[in-house]
Amino acid sequence: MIALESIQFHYPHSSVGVHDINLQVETGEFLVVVGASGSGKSTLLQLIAGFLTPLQGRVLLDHQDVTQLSCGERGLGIVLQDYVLFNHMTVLGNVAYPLKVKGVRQGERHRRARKILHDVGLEALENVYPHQLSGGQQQRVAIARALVFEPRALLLDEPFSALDASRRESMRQELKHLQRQFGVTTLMITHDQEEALMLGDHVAILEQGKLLQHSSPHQLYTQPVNEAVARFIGRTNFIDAQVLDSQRIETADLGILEVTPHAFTTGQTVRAMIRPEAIIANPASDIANQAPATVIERQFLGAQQRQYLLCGTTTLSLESASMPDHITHVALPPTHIHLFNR
Amino acid sequence: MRLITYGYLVYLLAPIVLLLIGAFGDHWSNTLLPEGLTWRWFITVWEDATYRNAMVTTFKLALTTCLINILLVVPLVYGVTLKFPAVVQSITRLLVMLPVAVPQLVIGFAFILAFSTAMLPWLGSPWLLVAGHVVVTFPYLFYTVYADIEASPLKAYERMAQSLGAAEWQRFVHLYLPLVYRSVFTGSLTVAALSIGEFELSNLISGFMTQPYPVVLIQAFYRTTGFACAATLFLLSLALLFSLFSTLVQWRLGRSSSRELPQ
Repeated sequence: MIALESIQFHYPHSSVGVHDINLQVETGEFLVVVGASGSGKSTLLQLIAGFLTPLQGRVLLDHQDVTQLSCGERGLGIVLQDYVLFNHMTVLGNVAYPLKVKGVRQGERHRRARKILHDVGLEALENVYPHQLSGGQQQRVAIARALVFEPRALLLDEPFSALDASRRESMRQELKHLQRQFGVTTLMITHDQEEALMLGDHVAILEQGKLLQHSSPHQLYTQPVNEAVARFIGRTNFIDAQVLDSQRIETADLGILEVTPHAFTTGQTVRAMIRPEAIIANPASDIANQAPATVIERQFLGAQQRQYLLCGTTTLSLESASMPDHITHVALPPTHIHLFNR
Repeated sequence: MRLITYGYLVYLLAPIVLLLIGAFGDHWSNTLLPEGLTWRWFITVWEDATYRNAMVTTFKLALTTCLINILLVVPLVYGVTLKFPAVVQSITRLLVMLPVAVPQLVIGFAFILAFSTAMLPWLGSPWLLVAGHVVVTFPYLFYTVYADIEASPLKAYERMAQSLGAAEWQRFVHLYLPLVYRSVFTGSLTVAALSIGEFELSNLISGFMTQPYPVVLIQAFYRTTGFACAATLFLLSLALLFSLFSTLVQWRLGRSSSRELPQ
């Protein structure tokens, strides 16, 4: 288990860092920390790894306070962005290295290294050097090296960024499989929201050093806590509105919309959010929140289609696997509308 | 451009050709070229104990200078690259450069002033000569190794190895030394070549019993032309031998590194 308690850190003469981070990764869980460049996710990983020491707060591993321990003493397996394989060592030498520095005898460390190389499907390549491997193979060696000494947790720093798009997808599946197989508590950082949603049991979103939301991918997508999260995860339609009462809002172009009960006060200006796939084209007459619409652009996305619709002066995007040829009306189901402060 | 290149080559080779002609000439006085052909000047130089001892001294001196330089530079570059704060790094780099910037005559006088006192009466001792050679050759090994390590992934290796639990000595031995051994070797060849040819400082601080070959060589010019040419050719051969060896090693290391390192 990894726990961060009120972690505070900023770089010297700068406000860039992380601020009051509280986060927990349960044993065996896969947590993905996602954020844009400069959001503080790399700093967070370095604080957990022990490359940086927080100015305030505590880092706990399996309930042990490791804040003041060096990175080597924390017993974490780390896979960095560019893998940092030792070029003068063979694959076997690289994977066995953590055991070598811990004093494990050669026979035993080679046996364990070979076993894990077998698990990652690289047993035939134990005698080759890192530069002779593909990007995906290098990544597997890096993961094997990080797992061979049975670390308390695995930290991954944007592990797919060095791979081309075609390899990335299969390596994601492979990583997920390995994580399940070894049952290792894993924290990965990435800027790729799709990667985060796909891999994480839970996903944490960072922005400007602050933790915006930490929840399951589904909850993150369907119930974002604020506009920043909604914008960061997936595509979204935003509509400015004013609260009429606890179940209704008024918009300029779509008229009065029914919404689920909320805590905003009457007269307050809010921003309503609805996902493109939640909008219904040419709805049945009994569905609430209908408005006339005109198609202004169609995009073919393979399995999905996207259409841009004009409702008054408001542009809405709509996504669906099957889309009618002519759209005259759309409906915004109340249960899919989320309200945020403006 | 080609003409300039050939002209430069002629300029470089002409003295060597003249030395060769002089060394094999039996007698050379008031003529355009020497008269007769002989080996005897080489034999005379070789049979002269002063020159033979000086050659041995030069070899020992070059070898010791290389070893001491390696022992100093290897850990220093590690420290400068990974341990020292930025300010100390800059100061170290500047200080290391000083022996190149300061004329050797100045260094020689400083040695004479410092080590000819009653408290430090070491002028003329072999170890002071070694110390002098270390001072003047140190920057060449330091900067060869430093430039190599700066371009290497050492910092990333260090961080990764730390996270894997490697102690400092393990990182030094397992990661730093394999990265640095090529440049240590090629840099040491440069140091040896410089030490073998060093005259200015050696002439000021070497003792009568520890004169290296270049210092002894100066006396050869007061003897016959053939003897002087043959004695000079011995030194020239040593320098060429080191140059060839250095080139060969660098070529071999370059080939092996292109096989081992990422493209």
